[in-house]
Amino acid sequence: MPEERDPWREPLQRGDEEAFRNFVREAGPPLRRYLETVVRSPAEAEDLAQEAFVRLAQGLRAFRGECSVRSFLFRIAHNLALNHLASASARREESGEVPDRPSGNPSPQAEVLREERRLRLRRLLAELPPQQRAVVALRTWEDLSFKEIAAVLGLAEGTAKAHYFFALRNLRRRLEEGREP
Amino acid sequence: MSHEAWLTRALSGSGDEEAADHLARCTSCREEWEDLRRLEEELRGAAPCVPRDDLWAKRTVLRARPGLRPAGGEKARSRWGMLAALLLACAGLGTGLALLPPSPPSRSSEAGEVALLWDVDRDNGTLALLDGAESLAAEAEAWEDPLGEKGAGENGGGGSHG
Repeated sequence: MPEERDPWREPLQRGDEEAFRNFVREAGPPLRRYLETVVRSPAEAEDLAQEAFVRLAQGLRAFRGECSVRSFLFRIAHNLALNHLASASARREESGEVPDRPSGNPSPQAEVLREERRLRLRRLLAELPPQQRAVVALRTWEDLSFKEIAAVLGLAEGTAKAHYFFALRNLRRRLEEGREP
Repeated sequence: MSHEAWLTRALSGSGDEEAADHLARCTSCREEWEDLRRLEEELRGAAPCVPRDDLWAKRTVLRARPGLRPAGGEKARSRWGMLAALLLACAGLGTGLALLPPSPPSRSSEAGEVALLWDVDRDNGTLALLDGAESLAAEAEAWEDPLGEKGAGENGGGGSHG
């Protein structure tokens, strides 16, 4: 959102450590969730998210505000994730497992069914190509505009929209087919 | 324009009146759009919960800290550090000197004190007591030894003769 004033930009570019700490607290969990969706490993997502913040701190002074600091962070993280996936696929075949965090609390049956459906959706999402699952995660979970998604992923805005449509259509088909990974 | 293109536009956000018109006319597009909107809502609710991890956040800030420092800050910091170290060294040196015990008087100062009492009689080539020194000498003459050794000896000698 380059049109709106980004409250993080000025203090972070000044090197304000307290502001950086608050930014890590606020943007850290969604960034880890996004990376977890892309790389499909919580541990690797944590490492990559940390590395993304380190690179952000190093690159803040050169940042010219083409997008929000948050989008800039996600762009760094996305590039790190893609590099990670490329090197990981060179090393081994992807296992296809998606870690889940089931709640320990006992739930009523309806809630259990809903939770099962959510888990299934996440598994199916994890089967999509990286660009598609990235667009879906940024749009539905991080509530980014298509302009911001395009900035994060380094795509044209129209391409990001098309990825989103085809990702949703793929997911719907797989749900109807009842495919399980 | 293809159905996919209309659906892409319709999913991209509100305010696209052309896409809305197409959905109103095309039943298959509208049905698919409604399905995809429901799925979109379902996906929003399926976001995995990532708990806040303060330890992770602290580690991240620690790792990122060197990058946050403003350019030239390191040099400026080292310059100020050197200046502070120099000032501390000077202060320490001054305190050390002030705490040293006073040195014993030198021979030349003792000679100076003696010279205060005597003056050279240039005519006779002898030493003469100064004015103030004469009164000091008179006091010393009249001084009685508190132990009475000098007085006791003189008195005892006179009594034996008388």
